[in-house]
Order: sequence, then structure tokens, then C-alpha cells
Amino acid sequence: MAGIIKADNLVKNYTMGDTVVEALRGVSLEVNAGEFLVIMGASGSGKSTLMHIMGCLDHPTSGTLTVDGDDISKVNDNRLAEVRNRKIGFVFQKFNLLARTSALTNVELPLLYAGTGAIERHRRATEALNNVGLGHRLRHYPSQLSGGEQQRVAIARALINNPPIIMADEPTGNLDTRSGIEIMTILQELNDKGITLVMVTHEREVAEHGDRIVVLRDGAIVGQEAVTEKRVATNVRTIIEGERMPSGAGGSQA
Amino acid sequence: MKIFESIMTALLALRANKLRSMLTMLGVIIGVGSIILLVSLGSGARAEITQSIQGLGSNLMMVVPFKLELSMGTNIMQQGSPMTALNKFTPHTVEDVGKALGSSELASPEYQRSVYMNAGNTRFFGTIIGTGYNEFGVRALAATTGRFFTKAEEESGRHVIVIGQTVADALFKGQDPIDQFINIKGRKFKVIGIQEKKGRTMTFDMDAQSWIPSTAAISVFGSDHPTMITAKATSTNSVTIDAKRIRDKLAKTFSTDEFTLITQSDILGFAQSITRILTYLLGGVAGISLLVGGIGIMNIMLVSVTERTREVGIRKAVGAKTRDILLQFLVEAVVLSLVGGTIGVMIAIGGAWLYQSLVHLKAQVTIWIVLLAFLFSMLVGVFFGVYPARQASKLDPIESLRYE
Repeated sequence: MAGIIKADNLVKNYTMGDTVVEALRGVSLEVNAGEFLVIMGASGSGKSTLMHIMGCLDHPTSGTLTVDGDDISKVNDNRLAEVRNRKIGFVFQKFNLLARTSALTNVELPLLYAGTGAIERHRRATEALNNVGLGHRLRHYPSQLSGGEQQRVAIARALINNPPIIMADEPTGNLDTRSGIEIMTILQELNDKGITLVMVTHEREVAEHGDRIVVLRDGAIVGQEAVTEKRVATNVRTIIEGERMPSGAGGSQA
Repeated sequence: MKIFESIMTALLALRANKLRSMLTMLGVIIGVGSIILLVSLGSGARAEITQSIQGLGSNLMMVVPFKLELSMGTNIMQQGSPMTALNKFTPHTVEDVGKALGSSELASPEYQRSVYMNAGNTRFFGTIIGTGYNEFGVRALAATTGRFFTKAEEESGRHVIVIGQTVADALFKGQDPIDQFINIKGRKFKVIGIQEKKGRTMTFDMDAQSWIPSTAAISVFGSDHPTMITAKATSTNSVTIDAKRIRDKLAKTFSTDEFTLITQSDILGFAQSITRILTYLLGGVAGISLLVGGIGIMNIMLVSVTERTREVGIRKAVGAKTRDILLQFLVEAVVLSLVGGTIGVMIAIGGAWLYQSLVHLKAQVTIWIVLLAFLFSMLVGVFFGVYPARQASKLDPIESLRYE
């Protein structure tokens, strides 16, 4: 399989006052198309920094990065914004939805910046929310949704531009067990459909949903393993189906 | 992202913070409102003054017994006063002015005093003008009721009086004043006419004046020095030439310090230059308040940028470019100032209407001042919105997302 993301000798230094913090010290990594890659490591290991650079949210200090065939290690901020908009969907630990903005408008956001017309935006966002089981909550504000529901809105937003890659940063970190399972199920389904998935986590249990685990420590890769027995989020289908019942049975409190 | 989408996004963001948006707009509302209102009052006053000066008649010339310079830039200079011994004018001077114009009909003296007038038990403090029979012709006045006095009445010094409407109302309270008597300094004057209503010129009531024959005035006031001589040019086109003739004639008798001839256009030009300065001054003061309003917008937008750092991070993460964020915050500032400007315009128009109906003075709301204030408010929005918008657009996506 071809490498959809190719990172070669990535270095990232932060200057904090007089001291230079080396967040990444020469990381080389290739993510195959359709792969479910998990990046593990303790806090401060550089796993989030690596994901931010691979997700085009940040520039590396040195090294090269190719995403979906484009070398983007030297491009400007606006070009990076375009890559984020069209090729990468983000799912964050803290959901990162716009407050006081409806679920629908939140999901429409990437389309807005892609220049899609209002009617088309509305149609696709409605469809995307239906796909994650939130067709009945289009007009709700994030504050009116449970954690699991907010994360599903975030997933709908990440998918709206049909990107080939999804980046998930501790997607279950702020969720209760049941909501966490729901989210992992959805991510697994997306991966099954061929979307490349890069996930950062520090929980072994969550990590075992992936195909391959990369372990980072102090800004460098210290271990890699292929997951032989992939964990599959079970019974979740029924849970999600249950929530789609008319009464919204239980509304799933996070 | 299209500009229309930016406007919609901005409106949504402003609606999410209704109270704050209103308070921010208040500065612009007051600024734009006061500019329009004050300039309208200024140009209204100007129109009114112009109208009342034009009401004097464009043929009118006035000769005063002292030196007077009406011009902006230099000080308004008045040397002497008609009441002092420096007043060298006599009835003979009036004849000279008449001769200069080729007809005694065209010149009339004015002996002006402010005195108490009594009718029965009622008293009124008004202005009496002792004058010639031809004064109403020279000044383009007319009597609504009764008549003005005749040449014979003037020559024989008859005690007759033509009164203004305010005087009639004050002394006779609705009764017909004609053939009634008014006591001035112990002499009885018979009312023979009421002058047509002229209205107020700003604060001066033109209808509080009364006219008596010059001969009667000389004996009542005990002075034969006219406080002013009014003259009428032979035609509108000959004002300049007639004025020169009078000046030349009087220069034979008087020094330049002892008389001044003023035409209607001199007064008009002077009054207009004063009211123009007044209008600019009012507009300038109001402009400062709009500036303060603009600074208010910038202040709130800067707070808003800090407060919405996370929002900027989210928008950038899903693909917003620097330009998109810049545009969003800039449009917000412009929408704030434009909506504020619109409300300001409406308040100003309402205020002008209220002013006119309460104070009975004119307020001219012109389309150009409305457009100007509106344009100015938009410029304020752009000017004070650019800096906060740039701050927002330069935010780093990663740091913004981490911002709590």
C-alpha cells in the first residue's frame, strides 16, 4: 500500500523564553492509505505535536512531510489551510465545536471555507448529521448536547468534505465508557470504508482498535508494533440504534 | 468565502452578543446622530437668518453714524454709538442721502429708542422708531390693519403710531387697537395701523417694534440725531452705484469714522459666514464623538478577539485562511458601525422633527449630510476594525485551540 502521509526526519523546536524545547527530534514515519495508525506515549512525549504537524496545523522546524502526494513542509499558511480543509478531518478530545452555534452550522463550517453554496451546505450537513445518528438534533447548540453527541457532531464536521484522512486526538478522552465505545465504533466504520485514520491516545485499550501502534517518548519513536488481535467495539450498534428511538431513550448523559 | 457569507457570519456573531453589540453601537449612534442633528440645526439657523435678511429687501441700504466693518478675519469693528455726541447725523443728512439718490422718497431717518408704552393699566417695553412717511416703502413693510402715517402727518408732527403685532397683543389683549391711545413719555399717541406679522429672527422679535412720525420722535426723545438712515436703491441692479453716490455725498460732510453704509448683501454675506463657521464648529464637535465611538468599537473588538481565540483556532483547523478570519472580524466591525450609523440617522431625523415642532426653529436635514455621516461611520468601522481583525487573523491555530 502507498504511503498517504510520509514524514521524514521531522524536528520541532519550541522556544520558551531562553530555553529551547525539542518536542520532536527527527521522527520518520509513513502512514499507509487506509491504515488505522495509533500514536501512543506519555504526556510530553511529542505525540500531539507529531499529529499537529502531520495534520498540517503546524510547521515542522525541519524535515519533510508529504500528504496525499503533496510536499507541504515548505508551503505557506494559506496553502496549509487548504490542505486541512480538503484532505484532513479533525476530531479533538475537547470536541472544539463553536459555542452558541447550532450543530448544523458547526458541521457546515468546513464547506463554508471550501466555498460551497448555502443550499448544498445545508443538504450535506443534514445528511452527515443523520449518518452519525443526530438527525433529530440539527438545531441544538453544543451546550444542549451530551459529550458523546458533541463528539459525533465533530465527526460529522470532520467528514463533511470527504477527506481521505481523519486525525483524532484522544477522541474518547472526555467521554464515559459507553459514549467512548460509540465513538470508536464510528471511527472503525470509517476506517473500514477506506479512510486513513491517525489517532493519538495514551490508553492501551483504545489503542488496540488500530492496525499499528507507534510509541513516542521524548520526541522520538521508541517502538512500533502491529496489532495482531484487533479490538472491535462490540454491541455498540445496538446502543446507537437504541438512541435513535423516538424518545431519544436516556439521551446519554456524559 | 464570499463576502455575503462573511456578512451572515458577522450578523450571527453579533446577535449572539446582543447587549454588547448594542452598547458598542451606542458610541456610533450618538456620534452619527449628533453630527447630523447639529449640522442640521446649524444649516437650519443659516437658512432662517438668510431668509430674514433677504426679507429686508435687496434694495435696502443702511447708513449708520459710526464706523462699522463687517468682515470675517478681522475683528468686527464698531467705533462709536448712535446714542453719543459722536453722532453727527441731522435731518439734513437724510436730505443729502435723498439727493444722492435723486429723490427724497428713497431716504428715511430712524430715531430709535426702547421705552415703556402704556395703554390704560397695561405696560409694554418696546422699541419705538421715529421715521419718515416713506419708511414702509423703503423697508418693504406693510400694514395689515389700518395704515401708515402720511407726509402731512409727519410734517405737522401728529401723535400717531403704527404698532407691531406683539405690541397689539400685549397692550390691547384681543381688542381692536385702532383708534385707541398709547401713552409714551407722557404723550398720547393714536394707533392708526398694525404692521404685518414678521415673526422672530432667532431671538429678536420684529413684531415688538412700533413707528411714529420723525417729527414727533424728535420732540418726544429730545434729539434730532437720527440713529440710522435707511435708503432704497433705485433698482436692484443699481445698489452698488447708488451706494457709491451716497458715500461720495456724505464724504463731503463727514470723515470716514463718522458714517458707514451697509447694503443688504453685506449683512447677508457676514451672517452667512458666521453661521457657516457655526455649522462647521457643531459638526466638528460631533465628529469627535464619532471618533470616540470608533475607539469604542476597536476596544470591544480587541476584547472580542481575545475572548474568541478558541473560535479562531477552530475555524482555522477546519480550513479558514488568514484572509477569511480577517474579513470576518472586519465585517463585524463595519456591520456594527453601519447598523449604529443607520440608527443614528433615524434618531437624528426624529430629533430634528422634534426640535422643529417644539422650538419652532428650522432644522435642515439634507441628504448630503446624511450620506456623509453614513460614509464616515463606515470608514470608522474599517479604520478601527482593521487592527483587531489583523490580530485575530494572525493567531496560531494550535495555540488558539489550546487557549482556555
